[in-house]
Parts: sequence; structure tokens; C-alpha cells
Amino acid sequence: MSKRPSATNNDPGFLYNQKRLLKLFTVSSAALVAGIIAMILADFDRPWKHEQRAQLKWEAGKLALEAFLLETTTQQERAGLDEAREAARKVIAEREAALAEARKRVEGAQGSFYGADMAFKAQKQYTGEAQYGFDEAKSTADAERAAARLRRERDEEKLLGIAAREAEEILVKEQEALKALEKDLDDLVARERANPSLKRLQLLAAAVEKKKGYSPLREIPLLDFLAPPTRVEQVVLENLVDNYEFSTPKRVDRCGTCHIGINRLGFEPEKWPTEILSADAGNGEKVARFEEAVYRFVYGLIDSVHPPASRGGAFAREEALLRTVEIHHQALGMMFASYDRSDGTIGLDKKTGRKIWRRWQRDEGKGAWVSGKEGASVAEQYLSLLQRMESHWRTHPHFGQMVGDASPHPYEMVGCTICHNGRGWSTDFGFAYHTPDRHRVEDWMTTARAHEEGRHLPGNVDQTLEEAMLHGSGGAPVTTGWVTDHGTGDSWEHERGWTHEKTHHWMWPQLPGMLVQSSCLKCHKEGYLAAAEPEYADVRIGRPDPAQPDTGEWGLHAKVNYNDPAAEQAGEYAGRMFIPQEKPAYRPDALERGLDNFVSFGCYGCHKLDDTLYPFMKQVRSKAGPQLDEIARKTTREWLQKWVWNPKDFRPGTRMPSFFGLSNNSHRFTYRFAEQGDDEVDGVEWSKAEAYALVEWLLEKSGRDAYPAVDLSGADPARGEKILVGDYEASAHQAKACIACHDVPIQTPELAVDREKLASWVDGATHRTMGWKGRMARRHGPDLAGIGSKVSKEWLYHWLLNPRGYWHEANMPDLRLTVDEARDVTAYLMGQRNAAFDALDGLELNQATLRKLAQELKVGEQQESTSQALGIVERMTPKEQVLYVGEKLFKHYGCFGCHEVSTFKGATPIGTELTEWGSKLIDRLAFNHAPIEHTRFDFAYAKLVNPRIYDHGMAMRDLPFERLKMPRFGFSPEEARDLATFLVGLVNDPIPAASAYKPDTRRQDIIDGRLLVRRYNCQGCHVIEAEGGDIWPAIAADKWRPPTLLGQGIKTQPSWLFRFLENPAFVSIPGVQDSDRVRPWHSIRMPTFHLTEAETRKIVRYFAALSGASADFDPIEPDSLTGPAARYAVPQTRLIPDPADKTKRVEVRVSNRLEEARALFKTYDCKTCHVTGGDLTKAAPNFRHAHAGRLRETWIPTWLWGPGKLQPGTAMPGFFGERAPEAQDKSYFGGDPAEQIRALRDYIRHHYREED
Amino acid sequence: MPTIFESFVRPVMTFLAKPEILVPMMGVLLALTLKYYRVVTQPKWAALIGLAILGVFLGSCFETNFRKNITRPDNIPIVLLLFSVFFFLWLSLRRAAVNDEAAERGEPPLEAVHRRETVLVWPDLVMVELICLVILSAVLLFWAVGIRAPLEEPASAALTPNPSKAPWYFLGLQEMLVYFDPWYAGVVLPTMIVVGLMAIPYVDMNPRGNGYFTFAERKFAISIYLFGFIIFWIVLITIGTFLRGANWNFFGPYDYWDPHRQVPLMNINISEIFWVKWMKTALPSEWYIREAPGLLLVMGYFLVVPLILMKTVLKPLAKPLGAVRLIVVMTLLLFMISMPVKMLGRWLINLKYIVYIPEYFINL
Repeated sequence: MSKRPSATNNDPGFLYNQKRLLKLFTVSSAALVAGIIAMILADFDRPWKHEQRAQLKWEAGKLALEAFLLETTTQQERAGLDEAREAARKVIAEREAALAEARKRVEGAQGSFYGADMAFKAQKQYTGEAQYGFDEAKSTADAERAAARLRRERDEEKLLGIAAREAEEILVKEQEALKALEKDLDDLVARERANPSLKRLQLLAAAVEKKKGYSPLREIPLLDFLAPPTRVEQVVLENLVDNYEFSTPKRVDRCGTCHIGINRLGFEPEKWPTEILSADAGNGEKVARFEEAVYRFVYGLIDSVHPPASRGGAFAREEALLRTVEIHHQALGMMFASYDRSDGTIGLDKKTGRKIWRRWQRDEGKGAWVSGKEGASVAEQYLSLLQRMESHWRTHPHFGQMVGDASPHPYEMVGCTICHNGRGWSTDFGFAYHTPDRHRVEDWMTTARAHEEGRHLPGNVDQTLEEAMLHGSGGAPVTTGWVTDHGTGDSWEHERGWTHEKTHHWMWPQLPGMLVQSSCLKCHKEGYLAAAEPEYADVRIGRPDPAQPDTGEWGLHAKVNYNDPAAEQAGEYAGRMFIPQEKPAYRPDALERGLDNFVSFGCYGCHKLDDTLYPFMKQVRSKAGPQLDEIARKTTREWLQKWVWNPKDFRPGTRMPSFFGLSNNSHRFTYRFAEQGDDEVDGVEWSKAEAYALVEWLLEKSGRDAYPAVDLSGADPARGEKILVGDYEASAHQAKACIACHDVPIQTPELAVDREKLASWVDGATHRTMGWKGRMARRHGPDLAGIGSKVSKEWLYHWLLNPRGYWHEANMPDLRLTVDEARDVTAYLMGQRNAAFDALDGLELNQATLRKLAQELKVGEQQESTSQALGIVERMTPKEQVLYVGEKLFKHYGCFGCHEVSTFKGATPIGTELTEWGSKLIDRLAFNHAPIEHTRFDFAYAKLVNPRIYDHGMAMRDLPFERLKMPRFGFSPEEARDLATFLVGLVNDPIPAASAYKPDTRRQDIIDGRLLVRRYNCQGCHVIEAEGGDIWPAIAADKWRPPTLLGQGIKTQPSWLFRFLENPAFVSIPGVQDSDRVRPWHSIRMPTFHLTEAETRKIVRYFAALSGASADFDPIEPDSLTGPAARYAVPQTRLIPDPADKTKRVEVRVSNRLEEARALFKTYDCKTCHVTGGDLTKAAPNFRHAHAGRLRETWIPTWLWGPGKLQPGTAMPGFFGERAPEAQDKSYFGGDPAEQIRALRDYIRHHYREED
Repeated sequence: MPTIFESFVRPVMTFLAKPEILVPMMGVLLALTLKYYRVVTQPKWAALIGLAILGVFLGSCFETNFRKNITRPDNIPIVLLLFSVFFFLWLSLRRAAVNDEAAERGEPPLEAVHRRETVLVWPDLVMVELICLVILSAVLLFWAVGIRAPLEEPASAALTPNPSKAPWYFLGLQEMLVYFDPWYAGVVLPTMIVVGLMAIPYVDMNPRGNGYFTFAERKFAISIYLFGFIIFWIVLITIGTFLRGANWNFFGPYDYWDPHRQVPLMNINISEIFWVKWMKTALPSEWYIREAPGLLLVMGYFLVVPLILMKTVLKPLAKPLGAVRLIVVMTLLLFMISMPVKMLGRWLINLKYIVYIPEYFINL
């Protein structure tokens, strides 16, 4: 441009220098071509393609091995298989011929039947006509003739009828024969199809096909559109949507593009050979061990395909095939497990592979079926595959529960992002919004814990914890985020270009692993939904079916119909057995604990949770804390003052939170006092005035009428202690298992419960939280240590006698104490004082501060002008000021959320509604200046641990009552984490009805029951769903343990259980004695919970549902009415299995079954242990109840067959099980165990007499 | 270094970048540039200015927030726009300066020297266009490969992103929304802009300056146009792109866009200034009394100001243009000037509305 053309104005010569133009064109064209190449390369180089290419190569290697192994076994098999096929075809052809014949016969029979039937029906018409003629002609001369005709016609009809029936019978028979033939043929075809050899060949073909399917040629850029080997694997979810407010498109998850193994079995590390997992490829000896493991593994594989004995000959081919596939999967697992990312090697290479191979050849591989080269190649390929397996190719860790086709959440239905969040349709690591699993909060929790260690937890000001959270242990902020964290996030940054920044634009970044459980709430809004259900097995007692391999230690079989009359006839008793699960498949335990905490800490008192969305909210108590309307009757002013000031001074583990002495109200602060100018205030003094006013108002408010005085003189505290702790040995009828719910102070060393043991038991067996180091253990009810400092003896005495008399919603059951017992317990507990707490000073009134408070609050009402408001306060008496402040503060802090107080009946909760909290935009969470990672989880977690943390670094707000006011509950880091998990799950994510979880009746019964069981702490005494029995370790002898309730639903009848729960000791039923109880020796008595009828029904239905039994009341069991009476009255013969050869049956003559049964009963000496009559010292249930409508008919045989299985640890010996065949007395009922069990059952239920 | 940066550079830059400083400052700079265009467009001065700007720009890239802001894939074209506007402004003024000097010497303009009646379509025209096409395609390809499309959250009627920004070419309009009611900033002003651009050929009676660069011969037209384009379009786009952050709050070039930042909003209407502040009474309840001061001001602006302008600045134009053209030019000019007037009102006296009649949804 700068070069000026020399041409004149009208010269049509070139404007530009042509050579330069061409040069420019050349260069720019080259740039364009480069751009196009760059575009193609960029497309070729997309990360997911990388990923899939690696997978394809890896899979090709795997398939090659598979094909190789299959090939070697199938070669010799093919010929045989062809032969077998030919034979099968011949058989099928023969059968088909027979079938055709049968069809023809059926057709013929049909013809005859129709003909006969037609003739019969026509004849009926003639008979009718004759009948009519006969009726008409009755009184005429033709009567005789008409009668004769009628007779004739009737005879004819009879004959034709017989013919028609015969024809029909023939037809039915022929049809049945045809059906049988058809079924035969179907079976044959199916068997043929299931031929393992055939399967193996198909597998091989598929493998070869797949192997062929991968070709690098198909990847060539610009040609790869034809049949690309890499492609996006996506699942379109018909019933789940993304919520964009204005539209709800179907969810599309493409996670499978990179996570290839996620919905396939064969990539699970759990299945991998442990010796290889544990072997470390470090050096020296370890390397040798590792090599040894690989050696055994790889050649174990070869051996399994070609067992050494049969090498060169015929193999057990079908077996070998299955083993090949299974072991192959193990091999894949091994490859994965041994892949160590940190240095990328496992210390094995081709050389080692050859070494191992040579060893095998020398030792075992002589005359091997593969050449040395091939063998070495197998080993090498395995080792090389081993090094290339990526960790994210693995199978879903909860495959059976989550992604598997047979699971409740199949991949095709739920995909990935509905639970994990993230952006499902992205195929880019960053844009899928991955989140590192190792959340920094774990570090944070550790730090917080370290800071908690040294200090007295209930002390004022949680400054230390706040500092821990803000600054970490080493001074560096722990909360500055992923980027500076040297956790997983850091390595992701290096390896995959991941940054936290990238998660900025997606509202639902992937949940870190520890939070995935919170997604369960999206569909399972019922709460304890989702917990693993108990497993059942139908069991048949008696001879194992040879066709079904024995699956249990004493004859446990699946899929046997226990109501099968044929089985019953054959003398095989059947029952349904409850099998407590040892390890649930998958359980959202953190979520459940979070929910438990939400309920037990009464979070719902301030924070509404919509009960139409979360139905479990309908079942919680209206208030989590006790009522306060009558608090003056219960305790003293001084105690209340100290308690309100800091409840944890009195009881470290209390659920009552602290409102004062926290990080935002313990400082001196300046504020614009009542708009009158700046004033400096001491936060502690200010808080004390608040607490003082609260207490005064409460006392003023609560009724003054005291309880009648209780005279404790002559009461025996020692006996009271025994009652509390449960001295089961010494005192019948006295022990109450108070320790199941309360921590009880124990003074007499002999009575001391091994608390460590108790604590660890609680921790391990239930999912109640213990806090760290058990220091913060929270039992169900309050810790009773120091209770004497708290309550008045009158209150305690009346409370013990009738807890619901004080408060209608009390969880404390009625212990049915006698007046004397109550006096004793009261005397003992009143002696338990908390000396440290007693030594604390109460609060003193600072009237000046209080007046300021009153003014501040009055002005804050904004009902009057400032000067008017101040005037009103001035005109109040000091007392009125106190009460005014107290009431206002009671409302301000929302105390009525947990405590019932008549003044605030029906008041609106003060906290944020949490129904959709998990969907709240992160921008709208007020993190303020707290250096907390900006995620919902972090917000909730920090808030729970230190509720005032978001006032951190805020200039003190002008009005003190604008400060954050959520109190400090003293959650342990674990409790806070679980609660936060629950909160994060409270999302507004529309789940179409078709996909929402709808529990069937049985599941709903379980869910409802679980809530009640937790509310009333049934697991404090009983083992339910394999959890609980908290007090067991404290009880010396097994026989005093509260019964385990495993399988309760199949054991007792619903009506009995209902009556029992309403009145556990049958106390007010006239004429019922101790001796009539089920376990009269038991000194612990189940207390009366005064459940509502609805609650009782729910619990009954819960147990029935747990055991998979019917909860219909009083089912009529056929045997109880007709069977025994008919069967036992007369001598009879029976066919019983031949004891010598169980496949045959022999006929035995039974002279009198009843007598024989009675003799059998005596032989087994049942009365040695079982309570009969008046002897109450025995330790097995009273036989009376076997026929008092208590036990279910089907339960007794199940129990007799295997007591230990139904109730692990029971003292009941097994007489019949295959475990104890020697214990059985063979001289009755032909020695048939099943027959003996049946006889015993009938005898106990229907014919038992105490004098026997 | 960080301390100097924190204590001096950042606050100074933040101050300079404030709209109430930046817009007038750019206006003054533009005016100076036009006044001394012959000097400042000399290559050495232009290069010096250009290098200074580039230096500040590159130096700022050491600051994380600034770097993140300018390298955001959305914003890269705006950076290119800034530099290209600077370049082309220089180029045109430089050519104008050369031509104007030539004209003063009585020589023909540069374009006249280069002028020829015909050129060949091939290769002179087609070849150049082709090369242009090829280069542009290559650039776009590399751009697309190198910088991935900046995807944001899925659009949702219920959840708007924060900040919610218009496409870059509308950011000027969006910035105007800070000062005006939507119907004015979003409807009236854009309409006037379009109408005004369409009207240019009809109201431009100046026969000179066709086909060559000049400033001396079209001072009025070029100045008005450059103020409209540079100050009220480019500068506002720049502010909207780089300086408007979360909640449409103003952030300095080195600031982190904190969504929780609190900014006081204490704007008041003319009626409040007049009645409450000056007259010390409550606002009259009838709107026509209440808004009388504002209405008078508006009427004054549209009736009295033209008369003054006609007597002074536009006096030389009155004759050649004729009445109709004059009125059109005047109206367009008034609407254009209304913008800085209102902005100044906002910056100087926290003016919210001159006329505020919510009863009839009329706010000015």
C-alpha cells in the first residue's frame, strides 16, 4: 500500500504488484490449510476420543486374550459340538413328527367331541318337547303314549350325554398329551440353546467380531465419519428431566463415554486377587512376592482352562468356559488395582513376563497345549494390560444397588447426573463439572478436632473453633479453596486442566463422593427410605432337594413355596426365615444420620420443612424440648439462670444449644444505641442481662401451683440405684433399664456398668453418633448425672410416676413404678449433684443494661416514634422492664420452636425455611467475609459448627438484634457433616411421577415403623434390624437380655403384639399373674409407652413388614382348627421318608400320635428350661403363650429347626438341624425330623397341659 | 511493589475508570485530540501515545483480575476493538492532517494523487478480496480451535446470570439504562440514533470533503460524529464490558467482581430537590404541580436551548441549512446532548429523574 504506483490516472495497468499479491495469496492459503488441519487435529484430539482410543486398544488386547483362550479350548470342541447338534436335530425332528401326530389326534378328538356334544344338545331339545307333550297330555287318552315317548327321549339323552362326556375326556387327554409334547420340545430346544459349548462359540464369535470392530484405519481423520470407532455413549432418560424453569428437556448423560466400565461387571476391584493387591512392587523380596502372585494368577488361569490332568485329552469344557470368563474378569481387576498412578509403573515388564513364563514351562508346562511363544505372549499381554488400566474405567462400586440392570436404579433409567450432579451431556472433563472427591472439609474437620481437643467444650466463646476454621492449624487458611489445596484437586489441575473456576457456570457441579447420598432425597422423600431392606429366604426344613444345591448350613433354599401343600404332604415343613443382613448392599448412612439429627436436635422448630414434600415430618413431635409452662414447678431460678447462660456447663452432651458467650456476642462493641448516639457495650454483660430476663419471664409465666410435698424419709436410695441401673440378679421386679436411654450416675462400684464397653457397643452397633472419642456421646434421654442440682424432688417423684402427666408429648415411658419404688429412685437421684455447676454463680441483674435492652427492643418494634417508645420504657417499673425484655427475647431467639409455651402457641418459626434450601443459589448465601469455600455444603457445615461465623469480620451492625442468632448446638464435626449432607439434599428438582419413589405398602410400613422405633428408642433394649440392643453389654447374663426382635413379624401374631404393646405387662387384666407372663423370670419389664392406637398399629405392621409377613390381624391358620384334632384323634398310618434311603418312603403305623408326641416332648426335656406353671426361675418362655394366640403357626417349626439362625446366640439347643443330628432322638415317628417337629408343634400349641 | 500497586496504582486506576471520570475525561481527550490533531497524529507522538497505552495495558496483565477479565473468551473481541478503533482513528486523522496541510499549501489531497478512473476487476479487486477472505477464514479457524466457545449456564427465565450483560454491541445501550428509563434509553434514543444516521445525507449540505480525508473542512460534522461514536458508543461498551461487574455495579479494572459488594443508591428526583430540599415542604400530591419544575426544565431544554444555540454555535449553519434541516439537526443534537446532560446530573447531584410521573409511566 505504501508503495505508490507509478502509473497515471487512466492507465489500466495493475494496481498492485502481482508477484507480491501471489506471494500473499500463497502464504494466506497455506495459513488456511494449516487452520483446517488444526481444526481436524483438534477434533481428532478431543479428550474423550483420547480416552476411548486408550480403552479400545486396551479392550482389543483383552479381547485378543479372550479369543486366544477361547480358541484353544474350542478347537477340539467344535467337532464334538457339531455331532451333538446333529443328534439334537434328529431328536427334535422325531419329536416334531410325534407332535404333528398328536395334533392330528387332538383335531380328531375335537371333531368327535363336537359331534357328540351337538347330538346331545339336540336331544335335549327333543326331551324338552316330549316333556311338554307329556304335560299337555297328562289327562288325555294320549297320556300313556306321551309318557312312553318321554321315557324314550330321556334314555336317548342319557346315552348321548355319556357319549359326549367320553368324547370330551378323550379330547382333554389328547390336549394334555399335546401340551406335554410341546413342553418337552421347548425344553429340548432351550437345552440345546443353553449348551455351553455353543455359548462359548458365540462368545468367541462376538469377541472376534468386536476385535475386528476396532481398526485404527477407521480413525483416520476425514474418513472417520464412515464408521467411527470412537463415539459418544449417551443415555437419554425418558423419565428424568433437567430443570431450566421454562423448559424441562429430558436428561442426557454421556458419562459412559469415558467411564466405560460403570454399568458393566468385570471391572470391580473387590473381586481381584488379594495377594496381588497387597503385594507391593517396591523392591527385593516384595518384587519376588509380586512375581509369585502374578505367576500363580496368570498360570492359574491357564490351568483352569486346561486342567493339568486333562491336558491333551478331553477337558471339563463347560466348567472351564465359566472359569475362563470369571477369572478373566479377575484379571482385569488385577490390572486396575496394580496400576499405580503416582509413578506409573508396577515394576513388571516383558522381561519379567518371560521369566515367569520360563518358570512355568520348567515346572508345570511340560507337554503344554500352547507353545512357549504363545504362553509367553499370554503373560506379556496380561502384564501389559495390567499397566494400562485406568481407574475411572471401573464398575460402579454399588453396582447391585445403583447401575446394574437388575438393580432398583438401572443405568438406562436413572443415568448418572441425577445422583452425582454435573453436566451430563458434556464430554469434556472440565465442562462435565467434575469435583474432587476428597473434599477439603475433611482437613478442616481434622483441624477443628485438633483445636477442640485441649479445651473444655462447654466453655464460653467458641473462638478457638472459629479460628481453627478460619486459619487452619498451620496459620494458612484452610478454606481458600480447591486451588491451593494439595488434595486431589491439585493433581487434577496438572493432569486434566481442571480448575475450580470452571465450575462457575453450572448450578449443579458434581457432588464430591461424600455428599452423593444427599441426592437420595430427591426421590426418596420419605426419609428412612432407602435403607437396605432386610433379606428374606424361604426355607424348607427337611431333606434338601438334590436338584438344588444346599445354600445354607442347614438346608436353606431359595424359591420354595412354604405354603405348598405338596411339600406339606411330603412331611417337609416349610417356613419363611428372616435373614438379618450382615452388610447392607448400600446404605445412605450419612444421610440417615443427618435426618436423625435434624429430628432429634429439633431443627424443624425454627426451620420449616414442608411436610407435604417430606412426609416424615408429619410424624415428628411438635416440639423437641420439654414444655416450659410449668417450669417453676420443676426447678429453681438459679439453676435456670446458669442453664440458660450455658447449658453445656451442666450437661456437656445436651441437645439444648447455647445462645450466649458466642463469637458475635462476647466482645465489647459499639452501636448506635436506640438511635441516641454511640454507646459502648460489653457483650458479655449484655448477654447476661438477656439471659436474666429470659429466666424471669419464664418463671413469671409458668404456673405457681407447686406439687404436694414429698417426704423421702425412710426411702432407700441404694434400692433406687439398683432399680435405675438394673440389678437384675438381686431384685426381681425392680430393675428398670434406665441405662438404655439415660446415662445414669452409679455410685456403688459393684453395679458399675462397663461404660467403655457400653459406649463402643453403642457406637458400633447403632448408627447413633458418638461425637469424637465418645466424649460427646448423646444418649436418647438426658444424662442423669447431677440431676439433683436441677429438679425438685416433688417434680421428680411425680415425673417418675407419670411422665405424661407433666407433658403430654413426653417421650419417657411409664415405668409402672410403685409409690415406694418412685420414692427410692427419687431419693437416689436427688443425691446426685453437679458440684461444679452448683459452684457457679447465678446471674445478677444489671438494671441499667436491662433498661437499654428494653429501650432497644421497644424502639425496634417501630410501633411508636423513638421518643414515645423511650417514654414507654421509662414509665415501666423495673420488673415490667425485665418481663418485657424476657418475652421479647423469647420470641427473638425462637425458643418456642423447641419448647411449648402457651403464650407462643402457633407462632411462626423464626428460621429460614429449608424445604428447598439445597437449590438456593450460591450467590444468595450470605458468606459475608468468612473465608469459606463458596459451596452450599461448606456454608451449611460452617454454620452448623459455628452458627455465628458469618458475622466474622462484619463491622458490628448498628442494631445488636440484627446479629445472627442461631445458637450453638455443639455439633461434632461428624454430626455437622451428616446434617449438612441432609441439607444439601433438600433440593427442588422436579422428578416426574413415573420416576419418583413410591413405596409399596410393605416398604411404607417399614419406613413408618423406623421413625417410631427411633423416636421411642426401641433399639436401646432390643435388637431390631440387626441394630441396637444398647444395654446388652451391661447385662451380665444372656437370659436377662431383652429379647432380640429379629423375625418378630413371623413369630407373634399381630393381634397379640398389638395387645402387648398397649399393655406390655398385661398389668390391669384381672387374674393375670407374673407366672402368666411370657418371661416371668425377667426382672426388666418393658415400660408402657402409651402409644396411640395408630402408633401401635404402625409398629405391628412394621414388624410384619420387616419379616415379609402379613399384618392382617388374627389370620386363621388352618392347622389350628381342623388339622390336629382330626389327625391326633385316631390311630393312623403315614408315609414317611425312609431314614435309610431318603429318596424312598415307607409306611409306618402310628398307634396314637398324641401319645407319641407327648412322649417325644418329654424326651427332649423341654420343661427343663421353659417356664411352666409356677416355677419362674427358668429362663425360657412360658409354654402357655404358645397357644394363647401369641405365636404364629408357621414359626414354631422354623424355630425348632434352627434356633440359632433366627436368634443368634440363643440358649435354645438345636435338636434337628443338620448341625445337630446326633441330638435327635430317633425312636419316635420313625426318626423323621420333620415329622417330629410337626408333632411337637401340634402338641405344644394344642395339647400341652402343665402337668405333662 | 505490591504495596505501591495496592496503595497507589489500584486506587488511581479505579478512580480514573469510574464512569463519571472516564466519560468526561475521554470527552476532553477527544476534544484535545481534535483541536491538536495535526500534532498528535504525527507518527512519533501517535507511536508514543500508542506505546504508552499498550504499556499500561500489558503492565496491567500482571494483575490477575485484569488478566482474567480481558482474556475471557467473550471479551477478546472487545480488546481487539479498542486497539483497532485507536488505530483507525489515528489513520483517518493522520490522513486528514496531511490533506488539510496540503490544502493549505494549495495542493490536492493524497486521494487525488492516487485516484484513477478504472482498475482491473481481476486481479486487482477479486484477488484482494479473495486474499482477505482466506486470511479471515484462517484467523477464524485458529481462533475457534484455540479459544473455546464460552458457555455459560443454561438460559432460564427464573435465574438470570449475574451480571446479566447484553451482547457487546448493545452494552452502550445497557449502560444508558443506568441513567434513563427503559423506554427512553431502550426505545427513544436508539430510534433517534437510527433516524439520525439516516438523516445525515439529507441534512449534510457541506459539499466538501467527499472522497478524501479531511477535518478542517467538516469540523462540525466529524466532531459530532466522533463524540457520538467514541464517547457514547465505544467508551460505554468498554465500561459495560470491563468495568460493570456483579449486580451491574462498577468495579475498577483490577477489582474482583464480588457479588456481595454494597453500593449506596441515593438518587433523587428533581421534584424532591425542588420541593423537599429547597422549598422545605412535602411533595405536592398532584403530579402536575409536583413535577412542574421538571416539566419546565424539559420544556426549557427543548424550547429555549435551541434558540440560544441558534444565536451562538449554530449561527453559521442556520442559513445554508434552511429551517426544516435546522430543526431536524437541532432536534437530533438536543437528544444527543440530553444524554451527557442527564449523566452529569446523575454524577453531580445524584439526579434520578427530571420528570417523574409514575401515574402515567412517564419518567425522564
